Amino acid sequence: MIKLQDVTKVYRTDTVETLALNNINLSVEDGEFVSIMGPSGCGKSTLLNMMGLLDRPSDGQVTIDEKELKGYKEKALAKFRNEHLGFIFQSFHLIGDLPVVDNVELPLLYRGTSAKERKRLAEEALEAVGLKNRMKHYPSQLSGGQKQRVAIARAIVGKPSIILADEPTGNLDSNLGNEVMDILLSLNRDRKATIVMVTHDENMALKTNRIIRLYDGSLVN
Amino acid sequence: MLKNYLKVAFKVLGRNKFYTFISLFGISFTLMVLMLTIAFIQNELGANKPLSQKEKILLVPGLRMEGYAREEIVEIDSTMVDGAWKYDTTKTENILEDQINSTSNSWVGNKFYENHIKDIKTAALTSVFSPMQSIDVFPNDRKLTLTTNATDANYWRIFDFEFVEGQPFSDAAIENQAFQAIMSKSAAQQYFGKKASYLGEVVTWGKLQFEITGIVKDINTSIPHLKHDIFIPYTHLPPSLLDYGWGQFGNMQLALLGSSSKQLETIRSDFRFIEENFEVQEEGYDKLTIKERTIEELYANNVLQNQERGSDKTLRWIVLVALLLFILIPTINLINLNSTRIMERSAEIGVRKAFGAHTGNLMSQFLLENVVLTGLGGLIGLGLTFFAMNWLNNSVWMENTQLAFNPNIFIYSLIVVLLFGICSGLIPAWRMSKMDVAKAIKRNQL
Repeated sequence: MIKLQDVTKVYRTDTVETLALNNINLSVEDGEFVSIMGPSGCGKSTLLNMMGLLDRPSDGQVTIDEKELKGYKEKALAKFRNEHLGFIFQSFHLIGDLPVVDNVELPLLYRGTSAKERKRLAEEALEAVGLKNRMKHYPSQLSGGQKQRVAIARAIVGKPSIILADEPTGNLDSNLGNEVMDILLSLNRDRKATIVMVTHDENMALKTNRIIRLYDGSLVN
Repeated sequence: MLKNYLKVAFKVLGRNKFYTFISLFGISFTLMVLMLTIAFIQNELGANKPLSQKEKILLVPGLRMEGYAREEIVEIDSTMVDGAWKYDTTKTENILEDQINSTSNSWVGNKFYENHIKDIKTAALTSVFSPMQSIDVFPNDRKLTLTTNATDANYWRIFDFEFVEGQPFSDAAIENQAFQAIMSKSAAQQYFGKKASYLGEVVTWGKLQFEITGIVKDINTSIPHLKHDIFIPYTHLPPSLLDYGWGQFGNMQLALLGSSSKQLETIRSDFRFIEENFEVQEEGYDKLTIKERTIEELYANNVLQNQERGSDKTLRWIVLVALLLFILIPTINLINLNSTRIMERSAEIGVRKAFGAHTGNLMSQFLLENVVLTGLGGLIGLGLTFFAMNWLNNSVWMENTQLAFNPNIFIYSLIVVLLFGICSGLIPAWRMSKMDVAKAIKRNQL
């Protein structure tokens, strides 16, 4: 379960102070598929970054699986992310210098999994997204939809309990977007993965269990 | 993990070819110059024959006499005797040791050697020799100029020349003024033409004839006192060359071998004792100084154009600082290039961090990439070094030098390569690995 208590995020520069999140209180239950919606700049991605431990709140607490993570050092946070969280980005963020299989293996690389086991799990993840036959291809040789499926494989290869997706269909046309959404829905349904997805697309959001709406850094319900 | 890092490292190198070229050129060129410099220093000052015992050798290339300024103090005492003043004048002379009035430098006389140095107890061996001026000889009516050195037997025990054939002078040969000569191989070839053996051949020097009893391999160092074409027993020298002037001067130089390098300090103390107890007879002079030098000091004196003891340390510092500066410039350049290159990869850093990489993982990845880059640069540098050494060894303007590639140079270069890789990669890698994940991911596309 993800729990945010009184989470505030302020970005400061020398001259400007921007309130990105304002006193957010929020829970996401295990196995839930939640979408976050709101206009551009309302703090959706910031909220997702807080849940994904990619950024620290200025105030408040983030608890995942009943672990209060405020005091965690960089190394411990990295380990926690590696074991519990999977990420999907709008721009895929695959490493262009590595073939598909190596991209998918990435989370396992930092877990100390043996090369043989990494390859087996990567194959399994790629099979789940229907791309086992593209293992040796490089990202530049794939279509947008295929890239995002590789990104999903990378997110699920380590069998994390939570998947955080930042506009996973944002760069795809509706057909490919639906394909990706179907994969996410099946992951939620079949693997009981908790998924939090930022989206602008109302139709995609309607397919999830719950929609959280943000406006100017505050929850609107 | 290593395989993954290596894959990325090679891909990154291939991705930006211009950057890779600039980096590799900087590394390989710097390494080449460093390795050539080290090879040159080893050629000049390494423990190579005939200087295998160089750490234990003390040379005395000359003596120095100093005369101090004097001041005369006149004291006049006046006393009244029988109603008349009587004056008593006393003159005293003060020697002003901080004001040198006159100096005289020269080589060492044989008598000085015999009386003060030859039997010095702290030295294992002492030698007297005379690296004289060049002489002209006329083989087959053709003029040939040879550099000469008149030596005793110990000279060959202190300096371990490599004999191609024959042997050094024996004590008996020196004692009996044997008409024997030792030649360098190249000089023998010039004098006699190329032959399988030169032993028994005769060199004519004016009215004298010397039989060749030894041929030594040519030496590479440019250190004086060693590199000569022909060697004869010093007992052939006329008395006017052995000693002249005031007795302590002459045309000779001395070499002393200590039982260890530490023993040289004891020998030096003995020299100071000799100086203090040496009675200078010559008017206008007060003190005699023995100008002893180690091989490295002597070399440093030549390079720095001074006469100071301890110049070797100064020269060592100059070389070290110059080399450090020489390494520092491309290292800073590489740090700069690396920072730019790693900055371009901030999204990759962000993704790696998101999926569990911590600072240590990223640091090791970027350091490995740099070590791969510098390793490649090192290999190219080694190739360039071989090429440059070969070219320099065959060039006419470095005839005293025969640069050799040896394992020591290889180890030095490996250390330098490693330092290069670590230094130029460490700072940018550390900065980038500390980058905020969310910002890094947003920065650019992969």
